[in-house]
Amino acid sequence: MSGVAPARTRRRARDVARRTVVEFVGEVFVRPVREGRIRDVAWPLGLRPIVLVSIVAYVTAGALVVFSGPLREWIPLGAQSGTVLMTLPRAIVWIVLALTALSTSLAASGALHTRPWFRWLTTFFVILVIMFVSVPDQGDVPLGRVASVIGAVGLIVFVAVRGDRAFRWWEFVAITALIWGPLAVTAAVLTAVARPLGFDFMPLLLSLMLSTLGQLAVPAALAAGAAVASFTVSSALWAAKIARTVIGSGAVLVLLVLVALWRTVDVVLAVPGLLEDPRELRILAGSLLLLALIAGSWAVLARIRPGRGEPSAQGMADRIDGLALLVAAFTTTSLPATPLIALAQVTLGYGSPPEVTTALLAAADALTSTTVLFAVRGAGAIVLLALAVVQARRGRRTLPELMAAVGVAGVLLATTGLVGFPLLWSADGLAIVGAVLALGVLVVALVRRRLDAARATSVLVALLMSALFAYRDFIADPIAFVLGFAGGAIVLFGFVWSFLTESGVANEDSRGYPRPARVQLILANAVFGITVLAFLALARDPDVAVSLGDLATFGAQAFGDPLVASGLLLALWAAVRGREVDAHPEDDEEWIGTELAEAEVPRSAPDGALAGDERVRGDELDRIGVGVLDPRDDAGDRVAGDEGGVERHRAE
Amino acid sequence: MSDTTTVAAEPSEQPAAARPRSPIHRALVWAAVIGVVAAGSLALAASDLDPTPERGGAAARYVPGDGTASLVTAADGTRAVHENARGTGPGMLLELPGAASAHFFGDYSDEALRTAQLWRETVTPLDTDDPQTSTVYLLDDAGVSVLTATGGALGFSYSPALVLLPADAAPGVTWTGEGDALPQGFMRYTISGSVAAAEGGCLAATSETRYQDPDTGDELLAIAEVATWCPGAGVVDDTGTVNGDAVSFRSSPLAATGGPVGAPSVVSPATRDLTGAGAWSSRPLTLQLDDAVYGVSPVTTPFDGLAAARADGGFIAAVGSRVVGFSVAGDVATRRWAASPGGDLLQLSTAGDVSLASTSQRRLVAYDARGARMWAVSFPDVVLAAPTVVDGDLLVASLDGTLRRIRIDTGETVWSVALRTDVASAPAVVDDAVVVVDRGGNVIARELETGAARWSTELVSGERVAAVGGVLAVQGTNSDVWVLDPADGSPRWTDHHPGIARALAVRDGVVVSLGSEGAVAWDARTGERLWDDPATESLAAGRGGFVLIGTSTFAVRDADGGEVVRVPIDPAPIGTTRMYLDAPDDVRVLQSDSTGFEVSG
Repeated sequence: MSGVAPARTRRRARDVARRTVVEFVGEVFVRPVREGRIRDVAWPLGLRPIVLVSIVAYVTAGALVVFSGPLREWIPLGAQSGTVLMTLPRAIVWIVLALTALSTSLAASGALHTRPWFRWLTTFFVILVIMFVSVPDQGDVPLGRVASVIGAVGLIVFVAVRGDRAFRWWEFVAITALIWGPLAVTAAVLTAVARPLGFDFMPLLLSLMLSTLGQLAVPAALAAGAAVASFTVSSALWAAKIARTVIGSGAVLVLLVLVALWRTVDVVLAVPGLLEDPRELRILAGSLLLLALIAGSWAVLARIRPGRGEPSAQGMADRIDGLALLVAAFTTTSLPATPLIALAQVTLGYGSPPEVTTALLAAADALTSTTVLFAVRGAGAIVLLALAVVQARRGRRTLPELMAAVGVAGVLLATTGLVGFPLLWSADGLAIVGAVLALGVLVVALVRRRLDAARATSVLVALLMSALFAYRDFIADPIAFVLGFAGGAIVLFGFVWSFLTESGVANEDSRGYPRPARVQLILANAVFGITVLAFLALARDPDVAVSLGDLATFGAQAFGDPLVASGLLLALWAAVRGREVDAHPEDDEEWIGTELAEAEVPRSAPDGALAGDERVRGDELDRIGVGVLDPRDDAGDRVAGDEGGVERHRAE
Repeated sequence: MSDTTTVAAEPSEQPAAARPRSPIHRALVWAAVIGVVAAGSLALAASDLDPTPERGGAAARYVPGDGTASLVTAADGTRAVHENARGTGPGMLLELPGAASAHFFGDYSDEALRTAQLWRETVTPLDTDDPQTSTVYLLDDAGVSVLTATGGALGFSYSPALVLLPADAAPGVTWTGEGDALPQGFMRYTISGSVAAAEGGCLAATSETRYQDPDTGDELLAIAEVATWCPGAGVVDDTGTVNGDAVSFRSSPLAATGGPVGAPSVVSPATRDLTGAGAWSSRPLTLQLDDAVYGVSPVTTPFDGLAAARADGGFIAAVGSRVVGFSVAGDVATRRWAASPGGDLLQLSTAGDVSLASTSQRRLVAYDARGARMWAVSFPDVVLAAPTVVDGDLLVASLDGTLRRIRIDTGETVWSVALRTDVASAPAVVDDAVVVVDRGGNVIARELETGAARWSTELVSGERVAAVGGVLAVQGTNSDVWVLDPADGSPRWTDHHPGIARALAVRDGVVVSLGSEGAVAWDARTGERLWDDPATESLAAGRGGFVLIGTSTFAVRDADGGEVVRVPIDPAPIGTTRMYLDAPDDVRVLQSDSTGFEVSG
């Protein structure tokens, strides 16, 4: 009998440990992926092979990133001198070129059935790419140029004929042929001409393409910077919650003691350095200011919002990637500058007066100047704050608070960029301030003997958040070690995590952006982003295209830090009030019933399923692009595995 | 998967009928979608991977590869290092003395010259003071033929090229040839030869070459030889007579490290003395070739943007993926040697009289003052940063983060560690530690003697490091500057100035950072700003101050910021790149258009 009890205890401990791990992995990893991945939701014939090809391309590009070190070691390198010196594993240049061409095809095919402005804008840009590639063909009979003109005209005709119709599988085939044909002809012609002369043209062509088009990956790279913060917030939240629900309140207290000691030691060790360096003190003041401004903006939102309720930390973590991508896309001035630069090259190459090229390049330069860049970012931040007010007035929660936090951070960053605002926060400063505030709440609760389970859980969440954020390199460092490529790790993690968890918008449907279009556009963005990263990793040079690592670092500051600040504020506020943070999950009905209804108008829904004014609002949102913003707490998980998720949810 | 579209985008077209599709129909759809992408990919691959056809017929396989080197020992025991370069186009011909190469541009069509496949073999004697000689071969329909031989007491320039191994090289094949051996018909040649099989897949080419005076018909030179050509190795054994005197030599691959060249005379960088800079002025630098046979001719081939100064006052520069070494006397720089490390050049640097070339073949190759290859060390990735010299050794960081301490005389590795991060900036040495900055801004210190970890710290955007006299400074991409405690890497002070960072120097307790919007100097101990300067192009430190070069001015300032001299210089011509060489007693500026000037006393 004496051995039975310990065995039962061990078994129970094993079960608890297993449940803890399973729940944590389920909430932090599986649920976001399940909700956010692309799913086969009543896909039309032909979309599945397109997705398969894209996934294979994505995995290929990912493998090129991961194995870029060994590839550089094993495969002979080709060097390309120019404005920057570039070395690439020579034998795989064509793969990167093919990946770039595929993402272009997906973009053109995906845009075919979208709103006319988006369709034609994308088509125009794709034509620029086609023409741009053939500019170096200066032969007496420029076959590459001829093929490019044929491809461009063919694409225009095809888009004009098919643009207002429904998706058909052969459209992708036709568009791919129209894009890849000129590219293949140009590559063959230029290689045939250049190689006997001792020149290696393909790496130069690839470098030219990606150094120009690589700017299109800027929004994705900026958004990727938020992934680590999102992961940090989720991990802290669920670690504490699962400890409480699966193991028990005692576990929360034990963890709280351990993490409090850990963070106390960190704070004590950091204090001497902080006191010695005025710059560090400014950073701490900046971190406090950020928290205060976000809290203040939330107070304003709470006052103007009808009804009661709290924002959700997990909801914020779920939405940050989508919001970051959207904000980055609208505030990245290199996006409109890129087609101008490409157009300048094309006009020059095809014989237009040099003044035209000069004017285009001057416009592109003006767009990408530091002043314009930060001014646009500042304006975007103010628009975001205004949208937060609008959303709050409509009674929404979480998204307005997240918009406000990102908007506040954006205003501060833009001010710093434009006029040198002295009180800018840092991630480490934010982690220290968060720890100090959480420890303060803990001490007060202990002194007042009011440390109940809910409060302890909230304090633990805040402390874990500050700890994980302070040691956030635990995510990037192992990847960086494998890659051997500084700056690539955070981008790779961000890209992959975003692709797996932020593609849910592709599962929806609307008049302006039908599902096949969404699927292809999401895939185009994903494949292109990781292709640019693969190019950078293979070239081992952040200057050959666009410095995605630096952009991700800025994205972490612009989007990740406000998210963590928000998470800390929510956890601390819950602790002060003696509640558990995120005690009440978001009201799905409220989220679905408003945002989804407005942003997504499923064409398969019965006529009249939505009120007319809601449909109008949905179309309006589509037009301004907000319709693409992921209303991600939708039916995905609730009707997991259902191909008609949205429709079924509505039926419910 | 559903067979139907879920929506019609516009009322003009109804959704596809929800009718079942046959498996064949589905298969065709899959095949079409995958097929079009596969076909496009294959077309790109076919274009890209199609190898360049090699000329020279069957003889081409006996030509050594680009960047290979061998040690050749003559019957009398004298040795020479042979090095091979391969190239397409007329680049190698343009590097020749004008009198030796001019006639080729009339003999051959533009198309033939643009696509010419050439092989150059340089011979650097190790046991005599003879200058380096160079032979350029042509691979064409005739086989492997000599175009020119320059640099020695005898020089040849053949028209048509002297065939040494015919295109149909195989046992039993014979060939003959005749033509001019010097421009303008000053000397004629005839050759006849035959090919026989030799051991190990090699060929034995037996030939008789006779040189005559075209006016008198007198035989000036007669060479009879049996040359053994081996695949990919060139001539590995040659036995014969020259005017009846027996000659022979044997060739063996040059050891990658620990080779026969021996220790260089000077391995430490020269200390620049700026104390007399007050009298400096600018003057043009004449760049020339000087050949014993063909005389003096100007350098016409453009420099490729890489150059470095040697301690002996000479310098090296990159020309068409090859290295050329110059000596300088007065305001005349004369090319003395050429080297072919193989692949494309990525970085040139020097350590005393030793020239170092980093190549796209992931090698660091060292040459002595004569241009003889000393060693070639392979790395997992390319070396982008100039090595740092310490105690007669080199500290080298390759792009993959491999950090090595290498013996400068033999190339042997003292220690090697893998930092597992990308490093593109030069290491610095401070307090028995070697410090590097990776591209992620991590500053990593390792023990100088063993490579063991000492400390590391992260400085956001940290890009390059400099250390002198116990002062360790780091410059960030956006011209942030930190001075760190060498003991643990903790920041002592930090500051910032506007602009994109370009250079960092430490000297006499002063830290100077140069960026795209000017240079700023600080007191290394306190972080107090001392002075600034409008220079944006180049920065160097020397005894007595700092050299600061802008687009149109050259200045020397002492550590306190006092202006020792300011010299106006012409802005660089549009489209040219400038290379600033830190010579011991002056500053030389090379321009990519084959011109240069120096600022000196």
